[in-house]
Amino acid sequence: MKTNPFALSMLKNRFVLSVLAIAIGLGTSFIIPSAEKSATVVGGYQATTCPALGGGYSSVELTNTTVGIRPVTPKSTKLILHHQTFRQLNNSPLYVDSTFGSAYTLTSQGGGGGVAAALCQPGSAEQWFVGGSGGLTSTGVLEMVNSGFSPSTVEIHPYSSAASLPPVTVKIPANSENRLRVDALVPGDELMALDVITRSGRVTSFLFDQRNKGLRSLGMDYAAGSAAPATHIVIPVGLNPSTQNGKVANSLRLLVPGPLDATVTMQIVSADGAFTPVGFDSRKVARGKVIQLPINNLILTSPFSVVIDSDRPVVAGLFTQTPYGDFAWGAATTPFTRMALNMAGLQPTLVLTGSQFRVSVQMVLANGKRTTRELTGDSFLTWNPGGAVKSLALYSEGSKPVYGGLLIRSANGFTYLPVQSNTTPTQTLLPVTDVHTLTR
Amino acid sequence: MAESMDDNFTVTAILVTHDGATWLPEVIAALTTQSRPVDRIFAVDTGSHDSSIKLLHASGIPFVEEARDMGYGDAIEHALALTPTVDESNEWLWLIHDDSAPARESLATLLAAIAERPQIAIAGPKVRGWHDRDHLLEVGISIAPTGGRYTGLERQEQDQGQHDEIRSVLAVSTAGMLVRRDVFEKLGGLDINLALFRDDVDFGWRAAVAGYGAICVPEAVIYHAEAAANERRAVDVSEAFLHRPLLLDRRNAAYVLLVNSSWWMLPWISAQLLITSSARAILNLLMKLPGYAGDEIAAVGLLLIHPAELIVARRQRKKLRLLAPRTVAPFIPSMWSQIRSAFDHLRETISERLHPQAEEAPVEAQTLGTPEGEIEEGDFTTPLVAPSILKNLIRKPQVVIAILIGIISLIAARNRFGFLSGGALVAAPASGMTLLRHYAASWHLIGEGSAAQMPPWIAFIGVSSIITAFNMKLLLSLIFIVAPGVTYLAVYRVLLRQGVQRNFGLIGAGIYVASPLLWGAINQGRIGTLLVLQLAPTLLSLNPLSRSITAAGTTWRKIFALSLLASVLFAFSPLLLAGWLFIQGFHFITELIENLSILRTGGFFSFMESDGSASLKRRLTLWVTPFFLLFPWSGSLLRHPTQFLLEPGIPTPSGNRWEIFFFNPGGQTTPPLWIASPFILFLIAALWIKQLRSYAVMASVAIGISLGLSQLRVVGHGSEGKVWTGPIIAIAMIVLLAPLLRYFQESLPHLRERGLGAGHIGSALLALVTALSLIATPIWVITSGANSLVRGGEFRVTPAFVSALTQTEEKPKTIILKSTQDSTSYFITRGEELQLGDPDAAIAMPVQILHAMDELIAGTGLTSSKVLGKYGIAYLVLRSPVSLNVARTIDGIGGFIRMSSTADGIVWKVIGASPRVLFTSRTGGIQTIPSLDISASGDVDRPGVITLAEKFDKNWHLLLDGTPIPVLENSDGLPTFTLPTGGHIELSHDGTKHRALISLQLLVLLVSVVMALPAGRRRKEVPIEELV
Repeated sequence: MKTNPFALSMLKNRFVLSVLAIAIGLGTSFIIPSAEKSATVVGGYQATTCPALGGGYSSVELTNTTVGIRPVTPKSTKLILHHQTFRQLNNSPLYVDSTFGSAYTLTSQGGGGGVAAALCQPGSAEQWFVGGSGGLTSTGVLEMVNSGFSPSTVEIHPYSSAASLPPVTVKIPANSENRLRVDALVPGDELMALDVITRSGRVTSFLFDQRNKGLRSLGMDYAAGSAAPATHIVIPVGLNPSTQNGKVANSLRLLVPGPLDATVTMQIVSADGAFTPVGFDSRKVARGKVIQLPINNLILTSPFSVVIDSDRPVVAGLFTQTPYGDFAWGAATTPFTRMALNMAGLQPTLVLTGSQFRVSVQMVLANGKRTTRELTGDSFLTWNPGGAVKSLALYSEGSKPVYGGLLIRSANGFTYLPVQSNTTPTQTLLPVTDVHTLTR
Repeated sequence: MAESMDDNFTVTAILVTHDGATWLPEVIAALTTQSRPVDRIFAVDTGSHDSSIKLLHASGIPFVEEARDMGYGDAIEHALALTPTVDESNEWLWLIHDDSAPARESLATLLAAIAERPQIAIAGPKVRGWHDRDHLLEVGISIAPTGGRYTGLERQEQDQGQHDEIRSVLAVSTAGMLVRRDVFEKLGGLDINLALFRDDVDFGWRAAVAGYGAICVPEAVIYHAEAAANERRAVDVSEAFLHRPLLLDRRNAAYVLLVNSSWWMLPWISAQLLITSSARAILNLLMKLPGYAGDEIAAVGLLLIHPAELIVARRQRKKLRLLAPRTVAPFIPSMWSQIRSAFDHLRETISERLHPQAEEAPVEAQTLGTPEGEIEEGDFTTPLVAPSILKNLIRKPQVVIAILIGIISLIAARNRFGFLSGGALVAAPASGMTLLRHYAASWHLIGEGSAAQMPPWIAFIGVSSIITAFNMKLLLSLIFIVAPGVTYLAVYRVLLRQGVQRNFGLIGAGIYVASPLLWGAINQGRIGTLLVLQLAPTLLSLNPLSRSITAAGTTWRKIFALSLLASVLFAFSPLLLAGWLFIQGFHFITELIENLSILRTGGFFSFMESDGSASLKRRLTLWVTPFFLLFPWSGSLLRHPTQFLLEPGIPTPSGNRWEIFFFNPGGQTTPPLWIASPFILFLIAALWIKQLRSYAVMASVAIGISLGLSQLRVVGHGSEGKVWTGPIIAIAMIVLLAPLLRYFQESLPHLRERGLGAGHIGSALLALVTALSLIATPIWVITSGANSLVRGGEFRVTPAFVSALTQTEEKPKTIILKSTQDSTSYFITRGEELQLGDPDAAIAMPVQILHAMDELIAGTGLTSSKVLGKYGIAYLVLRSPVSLNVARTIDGIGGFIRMSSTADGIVWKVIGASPRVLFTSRTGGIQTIPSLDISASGDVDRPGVITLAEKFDKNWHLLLDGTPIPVLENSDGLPTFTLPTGGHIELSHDGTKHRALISLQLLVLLVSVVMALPAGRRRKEVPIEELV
């Protein structure tokens, strides 16, 4: 091989050699991957727990037949495969192993006794419930499910229409549940909100509201866990009082949990446009007291969403009561990115609220065929997938946040189901051994 | 012969000769020309081989020839037998050696002194040197409790009449001793067991306790060559084992002490003799005088094998003793005066080594604070002005600047007083001895246990804690506070040695100390880089990586000194060790190839005698000695080469490539990039200036390597992090600094003469950036730079109750979890806080634990608690700020019981955790075996299995009633021992191999230190002029 004399002379040139040394070093530093601390991420879906309240016919609707489940009872520790997409509940909550899609509990009482639905939820450090009642007509229950194998401690901070009440601490043994009647937490008060804080353990809480007048049922529903207090909250779906629906009454329950009073503005967003009802513009709300404001004179042609803006963090819930003997609690949700659920023969109305949103809907029809639909909108959109849909998956594909909710109606009543991102895959950063842990 | 005398004394001089022809003519002349003539002279020759007998014949002195191995005492006895007493009451003996010449007036002066002191039985002259006649050797003698010959004089003391008073002494030398004959004979003369040496002290001691006094008469002078003691002639006396003077001297010294001292003092004296003999033997070894070392030890041994001799001698002395032995106490120097004297000697020696010019300096230069010429010779009226400290400091601006830097460092360290930790640094143990114990231990209680070799810097720091009385925390604080000042002085000194002028040296050292690297290292707790910054300039200035190491230019002493210095440096920076091994290896192989032709043509023996061989041997030594000095740690680096890239302490985030390009190591709490280090401009300047380009190449290669390695991630020391290349940046800085300063000091004067050009602009830019660095760095250091990663104050991560449990027999372990938004990390603790060196010994956790923890955090680990429990992990602590998600996951996973939740974090107990040592019988019964750190013992009453909750290591040994049981690794990766029967068990980690390797390291260290120290000279090698 012939040596290039020019290259040789250049290498002998100390200037060139110096620059070359630095250039090689610099180049090497670029070639070597400079990623920060290597970390392994495992993806998956959080395991969830489904409530078993309300009596009547309750079932959990699963998104697939291969997911492991087990009742949350002290003796039941192993997951089983049910091979069906629904599981009828007895009196025990159900633990659903991690899987794509959201399971939910659907409860209905025949004879127009009401319909209730609640998304199965993963364990949570803190849950807000803005709903329920400690009044005489109410038989609400707070169900706290410890699906873990260690004992748990839960702290409940009740709020009434007068003030925040002393917290109640509850210990829940491993792999079991504890139920508290809400009239024991907020005795005699129609207006209440609960802040449930899990001090230890993997606990999921559910608030079930059931009302009777004498022997007549006034309906039932789960008051879904609300998003954490915020200055901008969205309750995605509300049943519209229309000329057809007759005397549907909506009211907004509000609580300012912080130390200062808040100024709140509420806006109704529907297919008819967005507006602020009278009395909801810059309304002063006292701190620490639960209030419920009727939304009067509301006539809309479509379901609606409620958007609340406040100068202090607030929590809110929408209470809808129909004259047919049922009611529903709408809770504030966070924007969703994806969700999948088994339709279980229902024909819900999907309500989407947001700014310039684009949502892709993938549907599996009853005949097994798959189809996709893209929903785009600005501000508000409702969509009904129709009766032939077996399951559907929603993917938010826009860059802006979009809030969603399902309005489920049946012969026995109606209920709301939030479209929530707890169905999105979770990523767990696997731990690393690091002696820094033992130092400052 | 005798003339009429004015005195009434009869003096018989006895001259003993033995190969003394060199001195004998003068001795005879001196003896025969005394102003007060000797009455009678008699000589005894003990078998001289030289012309001594001829000379005696020629002199006319009557003499007798005796056997060559006859001792001095025997010779005197024979002489006395042949010279009968002539005057029973007033006859005096004058003992003269054949190498001692009395001055003309000596005898007269001695007799005059004793005439006035009738109680005196022994008198001796002042002894001065033979060659240097002003050199004062003795004014009376005594013996130290350590056996040393005590004269009370300083080393090389000159006689200026300072001792010219007649004084009582314990003894005088037999060279010139004037002794009353009747007393001499009554006391039995000189002890024949002391054939040579110390017979004089012994005789004086015996005379003193018999009630006779001894004086030294300094007006009388004798010049003594001390030929036997100075090894100018053979010592042939029968008692002189192996003819070794030192051996005989030491043996006789011990004999004198043991036969004359009170019996109750004997144990104390024996102990002192043993200790001082051992100490002297070690010193002699260090001075490469193994023969003398052997003499010291053999002297004590010789006495011990003849105890009867001592008993007989003590009985004889008892018969003649009239006074208590304590009579001599005033003449025996105290132990403290001996120690003080030894320290003075040591200080003088070191001072002479450090400031060799001081002795040669003119007198006026030594009169500090007095302007030259102000005091005329002989002007004793002008008072001497005491040297002013301030003036001295002004004369040494480097000291002033170093103090200033120290003050800045002290202000910057206001948040890190006390127990330092943080960044790469972990807290120090209370005592340096703990570090030494850790270094010697074969099993380290870090994580699930580790048999990794501790790095030698741990031992170095542990030994260094001597300066703070083994207080490690104080030492660590001091290191971080004084580091900038010490570095400044070290670099200043190196720069001057490299030809940099004083003013440039002051600035250059300042630039070095103001570098972002130094302050980054301090703030990030990088003790290794601090040491590199201090030591590397000195090492590199000695040019150890030079391409040619000739035998003429590089002594073996220098080779070993370089190796030792390099080893200390590399103990703190394995990265530099790798560079050293590579470069020296490259040079060695290149030289070997160059010398192959000599080997081929001349053969092996011819090659071994060539210059090339001498150079190769030196190169090889320089190449491998640091490696062996750092062995076995260096060996473990070779087995795991990525560990070369790790600095002492915990891997801590460092900077990006551009920061490194600008000589800033980066990372948290380093000076910001806008405080530009002038070294990047130095590099550009060196590239620009043709004659500096070789330095530019070296610095560029260093920076290039630094850049190349900087983004590499390495796992080790219990963590994972990017390679810290601070030591390489330091090398680049050192390479550039001195040449640039030399260039500027030469070229700046010429710059003034030239017209405006690139040189002016470049110099101005350099000056500007340097000024910015020198001003901005101290400001940054005492302001935002004070908020360093290293903080003071005690820091505890393990809950107190968990720490307390570690003292129980179960020795439970705890996993500490820390969860942030970006990561979740964990480590195992034994309850005690992490200590210096622990991260360096940390090794990978067993995979079973890794999997269990992965599954635990992922929320799928139903068996995590079981696995952790088997490894003896009894607690799980989630540090604050607590991640609720992680807490919820652990709560939900099962097997963990939450014990507490406080502001410090959440604690879970692992259900069913095993004790550290668990016995499981065949029937399933379990028993906890009490354990210590690396051992356990107990009794079991049936067959079963012992399971140790430590990482598996084949050096775990178990003895069942003294019978070894083989160690096996069970399916969980734990060491187990299957016991066929019950019995007493002893479990321990066998550190024999480890200790052997450490011993080997110490041996290499000892040899290297001995080789590096200046060699001592045998007395016969010292010119006689220098001695006497």
